[in-house]
Amino acid sequence: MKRLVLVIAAITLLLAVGCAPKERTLRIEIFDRGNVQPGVLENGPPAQWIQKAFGDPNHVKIEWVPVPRPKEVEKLQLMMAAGDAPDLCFTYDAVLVAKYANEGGLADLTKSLARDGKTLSSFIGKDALDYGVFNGKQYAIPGKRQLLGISGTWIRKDWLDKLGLPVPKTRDEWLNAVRMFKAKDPGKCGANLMAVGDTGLSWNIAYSFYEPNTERDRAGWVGPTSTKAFHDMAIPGTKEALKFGNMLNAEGLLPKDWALWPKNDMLNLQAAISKGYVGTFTNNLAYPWFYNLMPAIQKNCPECEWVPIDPFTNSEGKTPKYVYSPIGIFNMVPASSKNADLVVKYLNWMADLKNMTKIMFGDEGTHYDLDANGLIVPRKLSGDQVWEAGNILDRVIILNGRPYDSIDKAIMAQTASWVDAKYPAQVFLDHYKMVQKDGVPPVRLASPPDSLSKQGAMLMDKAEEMMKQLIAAKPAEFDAMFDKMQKEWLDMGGAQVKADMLAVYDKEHKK
Amino acid sequence: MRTGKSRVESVLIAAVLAFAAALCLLPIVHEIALSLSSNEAVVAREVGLLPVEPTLESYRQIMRDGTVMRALGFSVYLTVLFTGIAMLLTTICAYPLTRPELRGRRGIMTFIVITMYFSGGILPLYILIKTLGMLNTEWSLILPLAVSPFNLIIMRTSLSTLPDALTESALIDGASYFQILRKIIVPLSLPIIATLSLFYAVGRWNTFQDAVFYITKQALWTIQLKLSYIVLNNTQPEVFIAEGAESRLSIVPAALNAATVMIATLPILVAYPWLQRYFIKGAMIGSVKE
Repeated sequence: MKRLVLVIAAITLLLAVGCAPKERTLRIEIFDRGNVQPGVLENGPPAQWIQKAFGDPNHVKIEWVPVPRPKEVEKLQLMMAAGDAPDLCFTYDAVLVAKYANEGGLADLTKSLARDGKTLSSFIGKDALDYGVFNGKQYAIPGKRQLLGISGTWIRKDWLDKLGLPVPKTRDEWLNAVRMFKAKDPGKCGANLMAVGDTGLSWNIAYSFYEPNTERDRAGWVGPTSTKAFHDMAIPGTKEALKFGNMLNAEGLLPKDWALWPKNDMLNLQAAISKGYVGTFTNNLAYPWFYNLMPAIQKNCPECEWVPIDPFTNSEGKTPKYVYSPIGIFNMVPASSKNADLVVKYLNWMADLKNMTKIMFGDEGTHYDLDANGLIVPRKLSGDQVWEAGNILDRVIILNGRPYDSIDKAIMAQTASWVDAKYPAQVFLDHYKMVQKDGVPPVRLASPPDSLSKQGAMLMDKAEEMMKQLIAAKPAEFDAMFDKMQKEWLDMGGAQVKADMLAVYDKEHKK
Repeated sequence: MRTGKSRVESVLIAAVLAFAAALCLLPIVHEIALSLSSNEAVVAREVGLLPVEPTLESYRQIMRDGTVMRALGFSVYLTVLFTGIAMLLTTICAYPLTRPELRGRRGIMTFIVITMYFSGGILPLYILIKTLGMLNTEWSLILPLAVSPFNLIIMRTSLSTLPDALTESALIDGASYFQILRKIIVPLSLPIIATLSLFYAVGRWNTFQDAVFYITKQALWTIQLKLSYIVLNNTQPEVFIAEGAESRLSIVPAALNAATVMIATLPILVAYPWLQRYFIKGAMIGSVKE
């Protein structure tokens, strides 16, 4: 009898062992930005917790694959081609994703997402998810982007006050203000004065001249990307926009040598702002804070006070401006991976706000506290007690933003470290809302036409060159010059590319 | 010679040379000045050739962030190890190619020369490194570059200027080829060895592309890789912050940038003058056939 029991026990044990799920390895990409201590990416607190909270219960061993952020595209292409890509990889390069999807390089996630991705789908939302659909199949899961604005305008409040001017609310008021800056020189800058600190015509002004348009109209626009929002010579309104820029230049309101400034100028504007020579400018979001100019401004120009404005109204009274699409990075699974289901499960698990917050910040009461506004305030800890997460969004790859339930909180969290007596939180809240107001995102074409990939870059470079010439031209010659250049640009491929893009748009939107 | 030229000519030549030297030197002086200036002065573009509001803060910050010094240390270690291995391989490859006893050395040489002009590209190389299990090891940064055909040819040419009789008499005395190489050839070739070591060392010091592709472990980061990150983080902070990097970790002010460049450049800059005499001597070897 005893023996029988033993034998049965042994058999049961064997069966149990045989049935125990086999451990699988899930390889996950992570961006390495070179700014965290060794080991944090692969084995820091978030990595360990993800293993414990997601990995262990699902019999999954998680392996992190760091990829250098500056070379992510090259490295991804290398790993894809070598069949060595992680199960979960990602890129911001939408064209590359489209290429892989159309060439069969990616796993189809449609079914997994329907089965295991309920939380994930509702977190990201259909609008954003659709950006990952190619030929009717979900080949990529885009992250959700919280803050869409990119291009903001600031003006010197202290100069306006000195001149008794209101904060500009329309293009005309803005123009009047900068003309007064030039005429009265309220900052006593002399020859250094830069009434408008823009390299030519800012995007926000240009967009305010565009005639009201539909999504289909915009599908034919060459360019709009986050670095080249205004690079099309033939959008209705372009002529008037450039003529306005030409006028600014002729009146000496633009920087003297703006046309000679390098692309992505990092020197001239920053130096001029730091010394208090600039009256107004349009640039990336909270430019003086992003580029850490505030200490220099406070030292060289203590009276300087910047205020965000949104004055560039179009014919409908709106203030349209280029904004990002509502998506962040594209998450995808290479076709060679056997773990597509696990990737979806993992992202679905991450989409829970609680898990997301824990990955980024650790535990409330141990690693962080909540302030009166409900914002996370990390505690000042040292040594092993720190929740050293590195670059928090690189881990929570489904969200480009902060894990809060309201946009206001997300903005306040992002700008918290900039707040001081002169610039209270409200300034940044206003600014971030302005840069997003009446936003015009790029139109998505799932399969962009060949002519665009072949000629798009050339056309945009050419347009940039022409626009510079036109803004710098003698006002009397502007009209004839514009008509000639626009025709030239259309003839060299502009017209063809626009027609092709519209054709693709119509095909993809046929119901 | 001197009598043939007028004073004016000499002054003119000196002036042109001084101008050219200044062109090379001034950017470095500017960079040094930046690294020693305050952030505010750097941002406001007030720094020329002399530091403004001099401070060592940038260097202090680098010392505090252990990763720069760690990368520097690894780069020094890697460069020394690499140079040793590369010289060893280059020497033991070059010597047989000078010996008439080796049959088919022309063929071997052609084979080697071809690799100077054609390469498989990064993808096959990556797959090879991966298959050999060398990803994320220092060997991926050493072996692929360890024999440079160009240096090999210089080495072979240099060794072939040594009299044959040396090897022949040693052979008669019963020495093996390895003994001959070690005890006769190498001691006689120190200038060329020093020169090529410098070629190899500078090459390794400056290369960073391979580390981008083969290395993900931070412990194996070279200083050039670290430097590229710092410069990039500094030029695109808005991308950085928009992608969620915490600003306390990310923004590297411009002065810090310059200080890192100085730290990455100094070691090799210091080594140069010491090795320069070998450099010139060695580079001339084999240039004239007797």
